Amino acid sequence: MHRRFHRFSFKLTYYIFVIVLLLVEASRAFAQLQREYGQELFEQETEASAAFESDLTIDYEVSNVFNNHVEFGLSIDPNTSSLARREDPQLIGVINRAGVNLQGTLPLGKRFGLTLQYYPQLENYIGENGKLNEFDAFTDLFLTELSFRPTAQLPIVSVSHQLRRLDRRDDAFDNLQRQIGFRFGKLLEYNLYINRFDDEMTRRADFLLVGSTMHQGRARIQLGILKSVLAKLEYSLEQESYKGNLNDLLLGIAGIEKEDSRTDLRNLVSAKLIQIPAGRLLLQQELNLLLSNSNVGFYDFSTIEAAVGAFYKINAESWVRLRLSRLGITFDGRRVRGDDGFVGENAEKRKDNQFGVTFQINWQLRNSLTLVADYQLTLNDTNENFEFLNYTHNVASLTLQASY
Amino acid sequence: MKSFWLGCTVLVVLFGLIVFAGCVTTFTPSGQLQVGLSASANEPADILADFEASEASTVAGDVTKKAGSICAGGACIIY
Repeated sequence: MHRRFHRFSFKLTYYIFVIVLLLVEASRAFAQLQREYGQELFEQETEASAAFESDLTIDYEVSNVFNNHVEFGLSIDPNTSSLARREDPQLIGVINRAGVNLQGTLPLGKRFGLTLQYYPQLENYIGENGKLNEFDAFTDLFLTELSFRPTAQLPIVSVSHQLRRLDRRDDAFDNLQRQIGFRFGKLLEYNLYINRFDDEMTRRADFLLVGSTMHQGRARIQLGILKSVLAKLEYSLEQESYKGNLNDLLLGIAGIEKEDSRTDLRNLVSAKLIQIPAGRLLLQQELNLLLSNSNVGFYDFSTIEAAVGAFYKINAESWVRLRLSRLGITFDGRRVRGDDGFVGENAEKRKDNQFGVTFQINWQLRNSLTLVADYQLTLNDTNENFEFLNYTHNVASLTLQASY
Repeated sequence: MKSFWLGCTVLVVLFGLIVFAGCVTTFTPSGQLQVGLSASANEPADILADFEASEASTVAGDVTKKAGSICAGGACIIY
């Protein structure tokens, strides 16, 4: 009884302290904003800069991507795919994409704006004697966003609704993703993702092929340290719950009871330090942490990434970018198999190390025509006894973008 | 839920430190909340907007967005 009372008192004191602190902080912040911007910030504003302007853009995009591990992120269903019985899991291919992005903004009064976007895209896969054709896809994206700008000094507040339809030649992939978002500038963001597959009855062999619902909250802040040095901090929290139409093999490997479903909670923290030593050169160092907790131990993992990057602006519309990274992944719920294929009593956790290189060039050929060349190299090194997990992943792409 | 409350507490404490330290807070044109830690901290340069636009929005290390299963020789391996 005493213990419960103490816990209750502690919680009550904690919440009172947080509320008092928030109230004091809010009043001080309010006073500071008044000093910074003057009383007019909180009065009716009639400046033209706060109003939205009518805008219509049409962007065409054609790209060719070489990828020596097409299978990553796609998933191959052993029941539906003609690729399922291959001995070698690696798939090499070229993906051709073509899309048109139509986007328009319509002002609704002085402070509101409505943005509509429609972005259909075709994907064509080439490789493996035509067997990659089952990934050929048509995607449709339709976005509606209502924005409100309280004053010219404060960022835009917006609510959005996005529908994204994916239709592949293999029907196992067909799904509809709905996203409902709320944003306050880049300071605060909330997104709800609802991903549903057309077929939710067939039992699948991969979580990438079952529906999920995700809540995502994000907060960002920028610190101006010196005239040409700034830091960025970001925290993000995600909760994702998956549907349960999974086959017995996967349920067994992942250790999921038939009546249970998987729910992940992911915490992401990112810190970036940016320097601008010259007008055209920008340097960045970053540290990214990700902690994924799942009710299914198989999907518990944490990652830490350190990266350095450089960005050089050649002229108004052309630039080059280089990023080098090292990423460590620890799978807390997975133990390394021995040479006999079984997990021993004192087996160590699975740990992967990735070295990454990204090089990108954005070159304006004409006023409305841009060429983007991108190369990504990832070397994965694992302590797990599967040779295919020690891989070198190359992705090279060429994209032509035209805007009107 | 513990991590959620821990995150909230960290945000409140961070916000408090910024406010009580008397730092100048402004919103940049891109909607970022910028806290000036020194008097010489200035408006971000134009190059920053181009750099931010070039950055991918993917989360580093989130293997849940990339991994899947490999099925070879009739058996599947989840990785």
